[in-house]
Amino acid sequence: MPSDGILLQCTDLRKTFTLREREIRVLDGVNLSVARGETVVITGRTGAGKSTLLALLGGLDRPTAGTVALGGRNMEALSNEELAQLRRTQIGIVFQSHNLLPSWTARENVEAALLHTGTPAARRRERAKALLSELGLGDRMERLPAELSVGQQQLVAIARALANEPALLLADEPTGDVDPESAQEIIRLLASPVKERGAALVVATHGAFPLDAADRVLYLKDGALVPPEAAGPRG
Amino acid sequence: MGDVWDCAWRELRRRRGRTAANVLGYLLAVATAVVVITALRFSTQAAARVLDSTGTHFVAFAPAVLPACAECSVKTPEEKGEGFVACGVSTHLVPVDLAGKVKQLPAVADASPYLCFRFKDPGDGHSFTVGGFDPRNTTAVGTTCCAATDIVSGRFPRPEEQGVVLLEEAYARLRHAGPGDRVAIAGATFPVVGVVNPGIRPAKADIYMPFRDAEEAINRRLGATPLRGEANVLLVEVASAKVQDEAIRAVRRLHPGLVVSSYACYRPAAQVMGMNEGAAWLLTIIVAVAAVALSLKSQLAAVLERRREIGILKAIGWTDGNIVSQLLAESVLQAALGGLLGCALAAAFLGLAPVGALSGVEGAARVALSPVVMFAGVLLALLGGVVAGAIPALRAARQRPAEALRSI
Repeated sequence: MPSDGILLQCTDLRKTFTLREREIRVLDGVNLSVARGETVVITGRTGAGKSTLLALLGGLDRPTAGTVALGGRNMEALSNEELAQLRRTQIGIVFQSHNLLPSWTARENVEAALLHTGTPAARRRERAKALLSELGLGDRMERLPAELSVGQQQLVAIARALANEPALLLADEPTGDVDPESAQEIIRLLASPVKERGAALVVATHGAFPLDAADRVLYLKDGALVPPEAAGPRG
Repeated sequence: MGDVWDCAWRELRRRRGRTAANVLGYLLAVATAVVVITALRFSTQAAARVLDSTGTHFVAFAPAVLPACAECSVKTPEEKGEGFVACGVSTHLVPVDLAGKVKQLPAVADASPYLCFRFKDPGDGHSFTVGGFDPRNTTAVGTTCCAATDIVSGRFPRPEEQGVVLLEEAYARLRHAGPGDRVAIAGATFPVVGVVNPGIRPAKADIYMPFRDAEEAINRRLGATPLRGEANVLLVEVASAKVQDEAIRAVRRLHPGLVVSSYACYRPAAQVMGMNEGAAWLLTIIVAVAAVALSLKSQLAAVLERRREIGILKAIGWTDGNIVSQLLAESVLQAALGGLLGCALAAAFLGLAPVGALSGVEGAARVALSPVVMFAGVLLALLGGVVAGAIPALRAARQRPAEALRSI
């Protein structure tokens, strides 16, 4: 852990995709530092590369160039196994489309994040039940995702992301599909580990997430992060 | 590891349709493999029972056209036109105990001494051959000379019976004789107890009688030089069609003066047996490969279908090893279930279907399901499960989580 409190550091991050022999540069020199206990909101237009940036920050993908370091560990230097271990122990991700396992119940989906961590089955179950109860899903924990509303699915996804008490919480449009009341609840839930444990939260949104909940707002434009005031009239 | 099996079992229960389809695939593959292998084994064994004794016998004798060997003796009757014959040629005599030595050869199942003498009837001057055989011997005698199954009318002499004769069917018709009549041989008469049709057996004669009776009858013709523990033909039954050549070579080595007369059909029989065994193995391998290929296809489709889920699991920290273990456990569970049910189906099918009767092989109407084949069937399914699970699992595990999540 760096002494200056920086948890996440990415430097000159670039990501290029090749589509039908054409190179598409999505990220072109992203620099970002996130401190412990900080909430950063990354906004930008649809297709700007916010989800791609979160995937790189979460170690779900490898950058074309540049580095991502979490707690001082450069992800590029880690093997796939080490990267998986980092995701399992240090990172919690809330996907835009929830990404719940369709054949697993709400409780099992939350427990999935604790499988292969060495946590005993009874403690896994206890933790999943406690989280779901806290999110108001105590009576729906044995239901399959298809039997839950979109908002409830999002709550299960948040519970899963919080299950391993991550140091870094990444959320991609966490309030995109829910009503304002549920959105407030989600914001409160995501903010609680930041306040209580000093976790860092990075949220990607195209506007659904209230910017006033953030310590810092950055705009992703032309593959780079800029302050909103520098993004121009369309920012 | 308990978590892996728990998750695998839960996954299979939740996805009943896909699980049932995969289990059904293994079930059909294993049931087919077990039925085909059992039917092939049955067919091969039934064919072997028939072919193994096809042409597996011969007669050995020392032709008189060759100089008499050290152990051979030459005895010529006083009457012209009479003498020792075998396969149409005059022969020398060999010691009776040579049959015992031949019987000891590894490739030989049985051997028996035989006297074949051509008599001339003093009444009408017609010639006939007398075959002196050991009625106690049913193996070598039965396949080269005559057997109880060759009886057309009357009966076959009992093992210790003396003083009776059998007539060959054509000779019996020619002489208008049959059971209950008497025939004269070298001044003595013998009751006919039966008529036989031995087909084209190499030690064929017109009249068959016990060895000692034949010896006495022949001695009456030989006069001053009677037989002293001698025979002019050896009847030999070989252990198997596959060792026929080896048996012939061994007999010739034992007594270089002997000529062997055998059926040529043992060669194609031995070839057919080899072909059957080869075909059984080839078909077994084809069925095994087809079963694994079908399972692989099914598992591959299932894994492709779950690409997103695999991406999710990786995103929440599952390692490549965790993913492979999970998919492999699911595949092996389905394979084990399909394998066991497949064996049960095969057992039921083989119990109900008249496979034995359909083969048309006499005495082979019962098809026994071998535990080894059943075990091999389950093993085949498990092997298929591992291969079919490991290949798509390794492929799925290699992809980055973002790729899997993006691809849908």
